[in-house]
Amino acid sequence: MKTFYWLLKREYWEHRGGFLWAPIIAGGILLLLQLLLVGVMGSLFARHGGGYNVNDIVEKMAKGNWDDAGNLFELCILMPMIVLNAVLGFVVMFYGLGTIYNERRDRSILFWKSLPISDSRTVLSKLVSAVVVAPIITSFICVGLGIVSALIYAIPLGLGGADFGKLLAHTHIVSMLLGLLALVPLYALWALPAVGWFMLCSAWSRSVPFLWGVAVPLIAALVLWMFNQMAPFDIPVGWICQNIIFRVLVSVFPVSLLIASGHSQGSDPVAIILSNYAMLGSLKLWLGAAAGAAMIATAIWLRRTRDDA
Amino acid sequence: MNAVVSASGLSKRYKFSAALDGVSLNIPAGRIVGLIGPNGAGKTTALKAILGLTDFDGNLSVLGFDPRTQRNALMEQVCFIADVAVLPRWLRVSEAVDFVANTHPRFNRAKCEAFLARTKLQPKMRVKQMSKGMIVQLHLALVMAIDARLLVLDEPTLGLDILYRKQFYQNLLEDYFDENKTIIVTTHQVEEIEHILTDLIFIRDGRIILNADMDSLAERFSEVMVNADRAALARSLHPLDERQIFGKSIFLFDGADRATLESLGEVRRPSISDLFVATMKGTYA
Repeated sequence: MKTFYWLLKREYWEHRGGFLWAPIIAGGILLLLQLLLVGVMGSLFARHGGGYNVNDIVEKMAKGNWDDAGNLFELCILMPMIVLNAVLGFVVMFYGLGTIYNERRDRSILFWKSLPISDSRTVLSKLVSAVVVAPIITSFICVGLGIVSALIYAIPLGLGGADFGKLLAHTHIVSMLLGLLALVPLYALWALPAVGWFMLCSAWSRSVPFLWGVAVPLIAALVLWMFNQMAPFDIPVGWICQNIIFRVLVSVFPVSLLIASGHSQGSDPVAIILSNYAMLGSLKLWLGAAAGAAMIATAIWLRRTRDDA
Repeated sequence: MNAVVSASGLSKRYKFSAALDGVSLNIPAGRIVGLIGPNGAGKTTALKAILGLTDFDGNLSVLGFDPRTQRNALMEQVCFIADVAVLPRWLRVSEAVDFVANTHPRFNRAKCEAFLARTKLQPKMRVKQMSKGMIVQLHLALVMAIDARLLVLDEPTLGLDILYRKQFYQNLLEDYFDENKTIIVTTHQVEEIEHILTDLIFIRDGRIILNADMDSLAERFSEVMVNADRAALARSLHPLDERQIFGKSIFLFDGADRATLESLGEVRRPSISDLFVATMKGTYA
């Protein structure tokens, strides 16, 4: 247990840039943009019709339409978080593609292998870093981002004389943020085939794991499609793309989970977020996770046996 | 006495060549063994096999473990420095010490910190900010603080200046080595380890062509400096090698009679590098 904790710490030391600074910097930029939108361009947007802004919220509040105002306010705060989760997807993808390949390339694998730590523990620590540690860090940064951006909106709303407390009461920001954290375990299961595939490519490829990890599934999809066009076969290309190629590439992006689970409509975000857990009953999730586990096992075996460092 | 390393019929084939070809050897505890051979002779493959980093045919037992299947248990007792630059560039000194301290059961943190205090390394320093010599100092400090029974060094001083090289071996001898430990080292800088070795193994084309302790080596091999007028006589005794210096010939003999040699000229103990060059003649031809 202690060794595993230090292995996770080791991954964090090495990838602080991706795990911590990438979401913080992206979040900072989003906050700046928000400040600009709210402070400088707020009314501009309204005049051109597109998008939402502070004035819309104020208008709705003035009409006594508190629920709509709350929803709009929620959306303003949710937007940056969606971006941050896209950043997480890229971070996890590049981490997975690099993690086993890079230690071979810089030969540091010879140092790590000089310690009495098994390959399975090492690879599993990398997996947990990708699907648990990185998402949790991003979620906490989302919470901070949510609080700061709520404050950014609070100032002009408050200056406009609105009852900010009452507006907050008509939102579900706190439960939304908690829900985000609650989704991490489901995300870990959902992302397993993609992360497993990336780590397998990382363990296997002699050079450019990115090409293997990303180009091969895309080319496979293209070839299947062309094959289908030319010959009178009935290959279920759509099904394959959706259930294999899409899972292997896109499952690292948390939003793909929300799309796949087709989250239910409703007013209570906690219920909406937790409704994603209905996925636990789907074969699709578990087959993907099993495939991911098999690929991780292969990556462990590869790390143990190959000696071309 | 249990052998630290015992191998028989150790073989490993790569696509185009045999890296190890039926190697058999026994290394007892408390020895410092030099594994010397030309490039591509199979030194590194032999070390990799001992460390469980590669697959092989034949029998090999290291400290009683099979490196193929019991690698994790083995690595608690074995340390290795494989080349100068294997510490990852992002690692800080403090992180390296923390990590090894918390993952290696036989690591002595105080010892490591004492070693580090004798260097210019700072806890916040990253490997990428260090010179090659400093990286090796860090690696050596980590390794010497581990109470291991076998230390494997593969070209540990490659690319270091002479100050670091001398210091490296001096530290090993003074602060690390004792009768319970065994060191296996490969290097091309043979002259520098000559006086610290207890045993010498020459390897060529995957085969061991010489395996002797230093004392018996001195008895077996001798070098004689012969004047030109007696050179023909010396040649008739089948020397291993002959070279010319200042109009005199130097002959290298394997197992020749001492008294006969002394009648030819001045007899002395050959250096390992001369012995090496003589034995490896024609390797690259």
